[in-house]
Amino acid sequence: MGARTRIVAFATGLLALSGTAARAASIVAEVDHSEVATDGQIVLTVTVEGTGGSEPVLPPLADFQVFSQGQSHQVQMINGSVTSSVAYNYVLVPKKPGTFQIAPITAEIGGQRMSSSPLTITVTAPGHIAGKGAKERDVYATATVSNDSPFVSELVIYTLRLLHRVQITNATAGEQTFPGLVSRDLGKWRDYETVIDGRRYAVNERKVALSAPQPGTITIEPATFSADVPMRGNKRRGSHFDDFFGDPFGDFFGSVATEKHVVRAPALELHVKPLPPAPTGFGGLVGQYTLRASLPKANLRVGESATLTVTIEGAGNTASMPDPEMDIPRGFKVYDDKPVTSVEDSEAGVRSKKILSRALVPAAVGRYVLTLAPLVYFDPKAGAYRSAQVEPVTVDVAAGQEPEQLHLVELAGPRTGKTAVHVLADDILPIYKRADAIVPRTLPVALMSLVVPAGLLPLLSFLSCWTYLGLQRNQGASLRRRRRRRALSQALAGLSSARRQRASGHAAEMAHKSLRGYFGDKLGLCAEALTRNDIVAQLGALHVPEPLVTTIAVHIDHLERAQYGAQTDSSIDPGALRPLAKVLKEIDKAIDIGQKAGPRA
Amino acid sequence: MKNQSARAIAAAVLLLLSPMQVRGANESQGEPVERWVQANAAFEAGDYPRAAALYESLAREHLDNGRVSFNWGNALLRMGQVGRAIAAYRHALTRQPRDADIKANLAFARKSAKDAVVPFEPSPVAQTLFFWHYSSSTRELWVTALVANALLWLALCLRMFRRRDALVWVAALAAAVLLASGGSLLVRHRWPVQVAVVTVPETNVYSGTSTDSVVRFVLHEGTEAQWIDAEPDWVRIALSDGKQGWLKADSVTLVDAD
Repeated sequence: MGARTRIVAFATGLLALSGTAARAASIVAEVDHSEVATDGQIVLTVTVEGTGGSEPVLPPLADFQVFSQGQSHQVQMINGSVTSSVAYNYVLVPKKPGTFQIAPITAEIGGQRMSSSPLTITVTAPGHIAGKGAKERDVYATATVSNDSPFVSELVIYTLRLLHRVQITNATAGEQTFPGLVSRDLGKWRDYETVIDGRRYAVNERKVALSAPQPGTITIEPATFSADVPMRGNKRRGSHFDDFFGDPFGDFFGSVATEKHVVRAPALELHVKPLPPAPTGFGGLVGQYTLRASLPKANLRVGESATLTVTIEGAGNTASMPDPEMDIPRGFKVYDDKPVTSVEDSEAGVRSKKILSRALVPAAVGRYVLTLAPLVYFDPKAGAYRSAQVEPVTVDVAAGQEPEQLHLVELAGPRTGKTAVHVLADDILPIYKRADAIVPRTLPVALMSLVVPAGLLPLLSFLSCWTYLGLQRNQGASLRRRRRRRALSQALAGLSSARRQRASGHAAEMAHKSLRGYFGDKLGLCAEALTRNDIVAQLGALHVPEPLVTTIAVHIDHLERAQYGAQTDSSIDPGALRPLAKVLKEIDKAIDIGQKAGPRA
Repeated sequence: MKNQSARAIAAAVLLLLSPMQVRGANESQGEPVERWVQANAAFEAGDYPRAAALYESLAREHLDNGRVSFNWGNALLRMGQVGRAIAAYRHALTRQPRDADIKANLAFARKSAKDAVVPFEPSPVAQTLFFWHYSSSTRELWVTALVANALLWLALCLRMFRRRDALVWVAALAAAVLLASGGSLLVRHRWPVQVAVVTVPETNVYSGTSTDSVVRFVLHEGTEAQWIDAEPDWVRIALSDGKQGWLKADSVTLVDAD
């Protein structure tokens, strides 16, 4: 047979199958039994026959917990007629007794919506079904509390057990929460065996410590377990210890059929009672507690350290275990250590211990009594408040050793064994309190207004000084210029006056003075101190022609002789002063030229 | 004549200063000091919100020499507002740049910041080279510049009358100090460096100025980043590792970095 022939044959077969299935479309819902106890379960099977069937839609089942158990496919060929079907399995766990109707279950098959017939389920109280539910009793769950009417904050042990006397696999526990309660798991699941009514059961057990923060009635929701249980008839009823020997061939080939089984522990109610009015010092501690205090040495020296250890220990709620209060005398330095809290979970409940250590260093000699405040707690067993107390601790403090010796020992000893300084805690540095933190309200404005004058004032001062000096310099220069400009005219005027003073006898003196005054003004020098030689030298430096210099020198000599010599003014010929005026004019021009050209080097 | 001029200048400066000092002394006994005392009392009593409000009012009125912001930061830190506390401490450091207490509390507050981001700080090289810029407050720089300015022109003035070499050296030194302090003031005024401190528990940093843009990363309270740019209601920041983005302006507090 070729490949093409095989494909054609397979397709023909599929067509035949689908056509047959379409003709047999139906939906059937059935339960394994219609009456069940609240601690039992029923298996609902919905069979959808026909090709293209969708998953059935269950109606609302508020009175049951529903667990899907998967599906199985089946194809049958009877007398050439092929039928395919899918069976959907559900486990229904009833929540309460009563008679309940399961509405028709619908599914879409081959484009048609089809419905099953309704079902009626009767749920009875636990154990009311005589001769039934035996299968359920192979696997069942229980839940108990150590005290269903505890006080607020009293610890209650909730015990959840799964019991089975057949081998179960894939056992899982549903997640359980405890609304309104404070819970604490007491270890892992525990496995053991027990005998109930002459039957041996394997037990999986879990304990949870619960406490209620508020009074009132609190319901603990039922816990559920699911597991694969061997199907009835496929396996011999008996102990799970017989599994190995029960059906050696079945076990060997792994052919033991199982079904998913869901069991549920009953719901429980806690009636939480309020605590009686609390006495002074009660910090919310509920349970049974003891208080201890110990100091390793009753005799200390000043500066010697001893650790006072206070221990609170007991069974009960650890949430509100307080720090014990100590009354330490003023003669001690106290160094607190971090409290150590340990909690030990046990089958009986929770035991907790809190250890508080304080290093005490006496600072003065004397006898001291260390007292501890009593620990007030509520004892739920007695239903009353208790007070745990310890005897005061007496300490005798003697004087310390000689400080000099200690000093010597410290110096002589090697620098070893030093311990690192560990920061125990850190915090911010404290606030600043001095009022100088506040800047006066006017100071910023004052500083800002000061900036401009403080910045400009030095500059203005400098500019003022500079201007002053400059003006001074300019003033001197202009004075020299004015003297130079007026030198000739004043000299000529002086010579003219000298000619007119012929009769008074002062002609030579006036002419000499005018001549020196001219040279002083023209050359910018002090006229009174000028000598003939100074004048000759200055004129030479200014490139005045030599004959003019010689001529003026002769005139100066003549005037000086007439003024200081033996001859009198009458010997001065007034007409001789006229050529002197002419010489001065020529010299004046020569000096101007020489001053513009610059002095001779 | 010269001595008379110097005395006249000194008298003028004293005349300018003296009324301010008198007014300042009177003002220190007024209302701000009362609020300061009340704030300290509230802090000691554990009323941190009231203390913080009073410290803040003093700081906002520019009556703070750094200590007020320091106390304000302490109150905010006690209130659990780490971001605002860091901002207050940083503000205090701008007034008291060398104060060890402020630095210690700032370091303590930074430990509470959630993000592992190195706080924005100038490079150590820059801090060494321009030590005066990073270790002086603006007020100190102003005072230094004014004193150097006065010294410079005074030395030059005296140099015109007395030709001493020492005056040249004094003038040169004053000119250098004036240049340094004036340059720092110019840099602070012209190119201010600001730090954005996150003051909300958590804030998204977007790629743009819209909440529809991509959230680049998330910052938490107390993180310090460099301020780069601003748009209405938005601030652009850069982390020390180079990451940049925009965040809502109301989720940060801007503080001067120097």
